Amino acid sequence: MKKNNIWFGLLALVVCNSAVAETDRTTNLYWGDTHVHTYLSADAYGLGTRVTPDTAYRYARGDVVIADNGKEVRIRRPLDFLMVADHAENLGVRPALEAGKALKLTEAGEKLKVAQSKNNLWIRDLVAAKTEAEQNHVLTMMGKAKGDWKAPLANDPAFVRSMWEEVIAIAEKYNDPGKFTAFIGYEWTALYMMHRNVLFVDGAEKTRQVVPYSLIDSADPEDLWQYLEDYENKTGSRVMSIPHNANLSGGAMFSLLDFSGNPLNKAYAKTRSRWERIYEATQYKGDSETHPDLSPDDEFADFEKMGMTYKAPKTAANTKGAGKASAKGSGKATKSPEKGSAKSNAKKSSTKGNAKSTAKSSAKSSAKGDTKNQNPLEGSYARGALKRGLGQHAKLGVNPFKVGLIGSTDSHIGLSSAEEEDYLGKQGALRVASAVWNAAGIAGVWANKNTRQAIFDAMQRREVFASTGPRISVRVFGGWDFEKDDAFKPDLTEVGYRKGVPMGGDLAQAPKRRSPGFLIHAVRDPDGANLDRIQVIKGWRDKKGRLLEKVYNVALSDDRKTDAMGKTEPVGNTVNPDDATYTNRIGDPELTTVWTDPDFNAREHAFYYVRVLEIPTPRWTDFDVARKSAKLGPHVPVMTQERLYTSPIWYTP
Amino acid sequence: MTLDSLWISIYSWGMRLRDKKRKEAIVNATVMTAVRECPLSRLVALLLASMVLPTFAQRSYSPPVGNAFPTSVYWGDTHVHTHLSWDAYGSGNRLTPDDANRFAKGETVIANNGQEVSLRRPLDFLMVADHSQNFGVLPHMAAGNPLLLEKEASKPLVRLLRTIPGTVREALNAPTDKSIKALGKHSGAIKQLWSTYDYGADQRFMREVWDDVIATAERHNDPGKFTSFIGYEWSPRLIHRNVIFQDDAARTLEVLPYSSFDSINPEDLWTNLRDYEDRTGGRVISVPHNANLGGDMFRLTTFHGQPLTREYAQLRSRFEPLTEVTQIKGDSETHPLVSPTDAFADYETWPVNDKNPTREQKAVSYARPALMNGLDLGINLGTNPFKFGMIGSTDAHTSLATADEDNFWGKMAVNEPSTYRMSAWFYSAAGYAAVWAHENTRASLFDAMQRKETYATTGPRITVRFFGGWAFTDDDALRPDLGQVGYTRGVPMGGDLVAAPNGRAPSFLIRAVRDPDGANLDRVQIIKGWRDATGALFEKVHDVALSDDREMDRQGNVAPLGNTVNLTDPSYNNSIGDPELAVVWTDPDFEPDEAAFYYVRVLEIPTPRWTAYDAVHYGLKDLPKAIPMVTQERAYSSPIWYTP
Repeated sequence: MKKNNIWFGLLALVVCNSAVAETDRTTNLYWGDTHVHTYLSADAYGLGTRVTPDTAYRYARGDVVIADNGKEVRIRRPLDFLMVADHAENLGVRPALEAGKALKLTEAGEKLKVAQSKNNLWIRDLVAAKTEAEQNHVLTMMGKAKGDWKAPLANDPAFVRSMWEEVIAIAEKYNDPGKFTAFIGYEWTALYMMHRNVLFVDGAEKTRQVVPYSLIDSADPEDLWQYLEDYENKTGSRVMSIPHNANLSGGAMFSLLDFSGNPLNKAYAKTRSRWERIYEATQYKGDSETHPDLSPDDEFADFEKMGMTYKAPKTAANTKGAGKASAKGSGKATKSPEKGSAKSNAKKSSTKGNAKSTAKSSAKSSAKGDTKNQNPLEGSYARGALKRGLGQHAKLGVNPFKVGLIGSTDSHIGLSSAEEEDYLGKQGALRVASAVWNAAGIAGVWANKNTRQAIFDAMQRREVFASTGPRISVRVFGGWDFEKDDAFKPDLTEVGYRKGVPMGGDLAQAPKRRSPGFLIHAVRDPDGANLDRIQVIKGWRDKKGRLLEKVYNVALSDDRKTDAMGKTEPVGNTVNPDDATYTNRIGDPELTTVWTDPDFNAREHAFYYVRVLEIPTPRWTDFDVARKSAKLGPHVPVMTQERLYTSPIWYTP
Repeated sequence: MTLDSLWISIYSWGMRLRDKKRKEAIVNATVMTAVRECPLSRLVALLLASMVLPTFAQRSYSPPVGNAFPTSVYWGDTHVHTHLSWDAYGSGNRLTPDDANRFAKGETVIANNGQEVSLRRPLDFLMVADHSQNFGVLPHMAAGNPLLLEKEASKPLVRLLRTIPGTVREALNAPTDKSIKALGKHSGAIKQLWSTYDYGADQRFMREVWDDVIATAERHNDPGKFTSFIGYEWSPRLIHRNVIFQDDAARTLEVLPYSSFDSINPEDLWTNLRDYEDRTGGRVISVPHNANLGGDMFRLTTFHGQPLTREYAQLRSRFEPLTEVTQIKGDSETHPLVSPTDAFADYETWPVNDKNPTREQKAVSYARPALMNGLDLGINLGTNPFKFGMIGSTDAHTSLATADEDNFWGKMAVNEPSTYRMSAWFYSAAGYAAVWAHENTRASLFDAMQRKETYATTGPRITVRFFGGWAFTDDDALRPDLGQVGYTRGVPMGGDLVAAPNGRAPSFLIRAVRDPDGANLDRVQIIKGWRDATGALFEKVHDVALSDDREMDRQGNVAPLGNTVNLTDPSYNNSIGDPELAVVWTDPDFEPDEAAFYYVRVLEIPTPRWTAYDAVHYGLKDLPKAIPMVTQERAYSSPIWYTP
């Protein structure tokens, strides 16, 4: 062997040969759900959920557990992380009532206590009912007798503390660093579906220094953020809030007015973007990516839309002044919680110091302003919100809606089941009546380990994506130097991190005459369906201030090509609805590409996110039919085309 | 107003406003009625209620409840030596079993050459398998353990240990290879003293070392997350075996490692293992490796030269369900002399001390011919002594379980990355063991090893599913629930098919998915071995799935794939090959009266060999042409056997 000179010997001392030790940027894909309700949520309890947080965590980590129908259930693949996010409002009150605990009840609480004694009978009647009419009759009685579950039922701080301690203790019990992450958190159940999940990075020591913040404290998101800031100041730690179901918010979630009806300002944008860095874009109560009326040129926009078209809430749009909002619409007998919120708002007005009126009237004006000046659909869907964010960024200097995307279930039965073939959201003969529900979703997180800290960090930097259930693996990097061949590199990930930023990241100030390139790699769910295509969704703000969007097909399966119009032939369909099967004869197991924006203008704010579509597969409704547990109505869809949405990469001039 | 009534209001307006077609496509008529006619909050209640109401169906809706089959593949190495092995210590390894476990778990450690090193992806399991003869003697002697020093016979070795010419770190970073040569010479002297005398014969000493090995494995074993097996290597000349215990400290503390000072006859080892099982109720296997080196591993006679007996076959097949078929000291699948028509047979063939190779010698030194001989022996003896599945492992003597070409840390400490190690170019950066199991625990992984539901790779983490049965159809390869189909209608790798149904040939359901951080796949092959009515043994290699839509011609030839390797970086890319190959293949030559086995070989596209990474990293020029710079890595599944 040749003698080598001393230089190489010395070099060996300092240069590490291990290709791996050089970088700590390696990330693994973790799957989870930050949104599962159990029997501690008053609404879930009232309809028969008895699954506990303990069972919820055990199910998520892969144990066989007993569902409320007495049957054994098991998740096909365990999750890596879970947050039980029960409603903060009346957390645990109903099980406590049932157990005969002595609570300081309010009037509403006393009423519920009486009603609750009959609850099990009602549920039995519901099960026994042979017709919809019979069920409806029972449900009416239940509703009348029980009142609103979000109205304050008890006035008992010691009880609130004890329930929170219980929530914390169970999460602590199941949190197993490196193996399974159990987050501590809850849901703040605001009006107008402006719901947020509060997710703490910490364990017991810090989280027990607060109690959950509820609608009864305030209906104004800014008050919630203040609570989060107080928590961080007090503990020196970190927490975030994750909105969901903008699709049902009537435009209130991503409104251009704050809760008091004033246009957003820079301070608001800063605060919001500090606390709300991700958004739950797909779940049981429908998909919130975009809407056909918002994205008319997007042929895949009409997906799990909960059967609704947007219309401004009648409450707000039709009611002038602070009239009886609850008189509108449903006109139901339920008692609204505004009283409580108004009270606490008043109490807080000294801190906030502005002209905040009651939750009722302020949300009203907010929604009203929306309908007058803006397309309220934009405030209801992620894509619209992301576009609005660009406009606000240009105006305020800060983007209030700079959100990455995750999916979660919002299960109210304690079981995080997002797979079509094993959708437990509804069971038995009644589930066809709920055919609108969406068997989704799940959060994909790129983190370097499975710990609260690492997953929280990944969520903060938005290196996350939303899937409607399938465990599709997707990498996205944006940068200025990607070459076509990078898509074929085995160390694509390392190339991506080296030459660009991952999903959730930022590109700024384009080098002269360069367009951003995106390195994208999607691998189908190993136990699932092949992929149809990868798309890049671009949103941008042109120099006239218009907010525009475009969908690009950037990788197509089966060697298909796009025509001059950007259209492509459909991938086909192998679904056999009779037995709820399909095959991977069509589609590709893996798609990878480098795509460069052909329409880039370096002076325009823009975002780019990736949507990956599976080939068509049977929808959960079809599995119900195939397993003879249900008959479908004539027009219930039996097929779906599942998908994922990555967090965007933003370009700022 | 309440949230519920709000969104239900929205919902209902939506229903009315939406065009009829879409509306109908989403909700059935019943729900429409409910929306129109019943108070809206009741609909919410209805929807929520329907989540939780009991069903009258008998079976659970949840399909995975009944799943009893393994759903995960776990990656590991059952063969890593640490400083406790005399040869590892003698050539400079100072890393401990603790370091080995930490490294396997993904931690960064300082290698013997002084550099930081870590795995790209952690392993799921590890066994530290140190040589049981003179187990731990050298480090303990160097540290002055009185149990050793009190012996007169230790003195020459103690003196020798005081004269070690420097550390590996110094040697590898020195301007010339002189200090490495000095280390080698010293290590040779140690070997001379070492091999003649059992310094560790004192049971008190052996106990001390073994207790420590067990304690380290127990400390790192983390059920569900990382499995650290307790075991050791029994290494008489060229018939080495790794002994893998399923059990924890409670049982393994009851025995001491069995060494070649106890016996050099494998039958005695198996008897020892049987005694262990009988006495403790525990479970243990032994895994042969490096059959390729000697010609003794799959001999057709006993250790004493007697014909094999039924009892021998039973004992061997009981304790040896697996063979380590690929590792740093070469690949033991097959040899070109044994399989002359196999275009891919000459893979990492060990070239050392191999002057006059003969077919006869190689036929008892490689897995494929042994599997073939096993068919014959199975019929003659009633039990097949060579009925083994496949795993890979490294046999690293550096405490570092590395098998990636771009992150290969060599055989011995002196072979850790440096400008000098190219002279040992023949080491192979291989391999790992893949295990299909229910969970990452000693019990679950061990069960899988016993039922041979394992496969070997030369390093890449290729996922391989392989099932045999009588009723697979072509479409099964395209099913998303391929695993479920495979287990329901067939047997997995390592399993048995018997007594073919009339007029049926066995079919095989195979899916291979490339290493997500690695190279695309070139092809999937099935290797069939069989024994005809006259007792003659045959083998045949079938290309059953080819990437890039290639097809076989009439002669069975396939267009070569091409090569994207660029040696100047070095690099390659996945513009050729496929990320996934799946197929159902039916044996076209099947004879129901002939015993046979079938195993899968998956080939990657060509990639740079570790030597190419070294050449670039160290700027080595004018290397001998004989040094291979390109490799084609692969996976070998355990066979499925057919017995008439």
